[in-house]
Amino acid sequence: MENLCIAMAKGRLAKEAVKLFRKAGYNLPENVLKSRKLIFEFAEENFEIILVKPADVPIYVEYGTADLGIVGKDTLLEENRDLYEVLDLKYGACRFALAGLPNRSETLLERKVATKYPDFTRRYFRSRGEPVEVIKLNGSIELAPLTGLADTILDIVETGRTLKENGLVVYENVRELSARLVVNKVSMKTRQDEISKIIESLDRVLTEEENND
Amino acid sequence: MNAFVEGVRDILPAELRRRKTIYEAIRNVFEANAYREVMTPTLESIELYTGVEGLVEKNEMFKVVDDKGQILVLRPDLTMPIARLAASRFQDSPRPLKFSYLSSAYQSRNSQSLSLKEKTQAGVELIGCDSLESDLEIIILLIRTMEAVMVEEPLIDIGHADLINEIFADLKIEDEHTAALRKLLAAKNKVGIKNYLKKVDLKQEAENVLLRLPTLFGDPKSVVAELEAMPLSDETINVLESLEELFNRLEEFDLLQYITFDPMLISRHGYYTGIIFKGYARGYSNLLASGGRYDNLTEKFGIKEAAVGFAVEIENLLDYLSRTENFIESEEKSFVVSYQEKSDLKAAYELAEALRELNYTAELLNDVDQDYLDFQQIEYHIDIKEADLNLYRNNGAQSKIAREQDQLLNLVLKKIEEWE
Repeated sequence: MENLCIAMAKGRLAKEAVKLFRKAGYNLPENVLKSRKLIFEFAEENFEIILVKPADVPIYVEYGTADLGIVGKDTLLEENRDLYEVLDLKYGACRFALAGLPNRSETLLERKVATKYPDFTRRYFRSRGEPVEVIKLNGSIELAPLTGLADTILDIVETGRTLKENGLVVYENVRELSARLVVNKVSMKTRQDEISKIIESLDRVLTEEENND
Repeated sequence: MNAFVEGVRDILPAELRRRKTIYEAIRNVFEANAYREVMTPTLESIELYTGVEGLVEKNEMFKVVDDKGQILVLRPDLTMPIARLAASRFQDSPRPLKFSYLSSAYQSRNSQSLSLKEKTQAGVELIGCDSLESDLEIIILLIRTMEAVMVEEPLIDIGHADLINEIFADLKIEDEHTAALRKLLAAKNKVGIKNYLKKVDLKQEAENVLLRLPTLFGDPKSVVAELEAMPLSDETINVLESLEELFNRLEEFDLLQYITFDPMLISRHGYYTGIIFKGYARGYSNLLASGGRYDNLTEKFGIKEAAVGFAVEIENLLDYLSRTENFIESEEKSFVVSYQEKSDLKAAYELAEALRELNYTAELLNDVDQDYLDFQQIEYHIDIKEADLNLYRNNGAQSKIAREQDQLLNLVLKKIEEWE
């Protein structure tokens, strides 16, 4: 049978994922993802890893090109794809927060919110019944309140250092985030044995670590 | 001018040839099982599709305004028109009604991976039966249909629309939590359930059940056995027993190896009332078919009637078949008959007609170049030139046959047979 395909978000999440797989007893070389390749085959384990942009992980998995994926909850919330979300991998922990300049003055107009996550932001404010203008930016979100483009930002906050250095404060924590293991809905059924084995062995490592804490 | 519309596509001859073969195979199975094909209009009243919860979102339908200002839709689904037929023109006909269809449905946003706005569906509806045997009939028919189009190792994942609600009732989960938990269970999101349970006050027993459900699916008998051992009410056990009976019957037909059971299989279509199922092929990560029982679909027409059916997603099926080499259309021999002299047109026409009578494809051309023959992938080229027929095959073989003979066609066919 064909190898199972696991899509991972390039960068730190993928590195952490390899560590996790190694702890779970999978035979992957430690620095395996260091090369510039995008596809890594592990014939012995009957799977391959592909490296893609974080926002593309849910897409690869929903289309079934990848059977499994490892990606941040932030991306999952923004992409809102039809997938099974089976494990919280615990690492990559951070949170969505609303932030801006201290002493935000109430305006008569709608609040302007700059974000890299426009879809999630829209849904979030709609669920609160608050009309806002969402402005989609692609990076350096902290600039938006400083330049007056927006009065609020919705972004990932890890330590809060970037905000602090730019003179911004957190208004409100929206929700916790971390890396997740997602599975294509059809693969889960058609390759249940192989996929369950991966889920269980990763889950075992995570449970052990939780108990050691 | 940009004359392209996103989400719709032209179907070219090579694909259409394959489609026709698939359509024929599917229609043969449907007709042989007495599911008679109907064609319903492309345009339907918007009222047909509103008020059925979970059927199609209003903003996902293509709307058209007619000359009287009425809003019509391009049919977003093929089941509702058949429910309409059953409740109107066939209202007084003896039951059961068995219909099949093979048509396009239109939705502006498609949750299916191949995100086409126009998709082809082939399906059946069995109306007026609420027995276990009718569920069984439909599931067997789906397996037979998939086999007929060479789906290797079909897999039917079965669930039941009532199961989740019964289990919620058994666990005494309050209404305010059911929607959120339902969503988490449908996504097999164990993490989400664990977090959600921190906010809800439930008995440990109930929590254990909710945490087990996301990973409880697969082998039908062991899943049923495990569920039956849980603290569930008689109503839930009844649902499980009816499923168990279905699985036993499928085993009797030697089909249980194609079946998996997922108690948390939840369909986007809210209209299902009994079994729900999805059809897959091992190794292919897209949905090939879906179906189930909907016993209240005709309610909006004032009658309540049992019905069960399924639809095969033709585009996904084509995609699957193009990845395997299982499905090979019968190659038909194609001929070009060409002539050089205008006076040979009639002779060429007669030869072409004789070939067509033998069910070959034959086209007539006055002179022809190699580019054309290559482009159309013509296997045999017969060139009428002066006193000879020059016969060429696309692999380079050639032969000359004198025209002044009887049984000219037979000589051509004999040569071809030799070459093959």
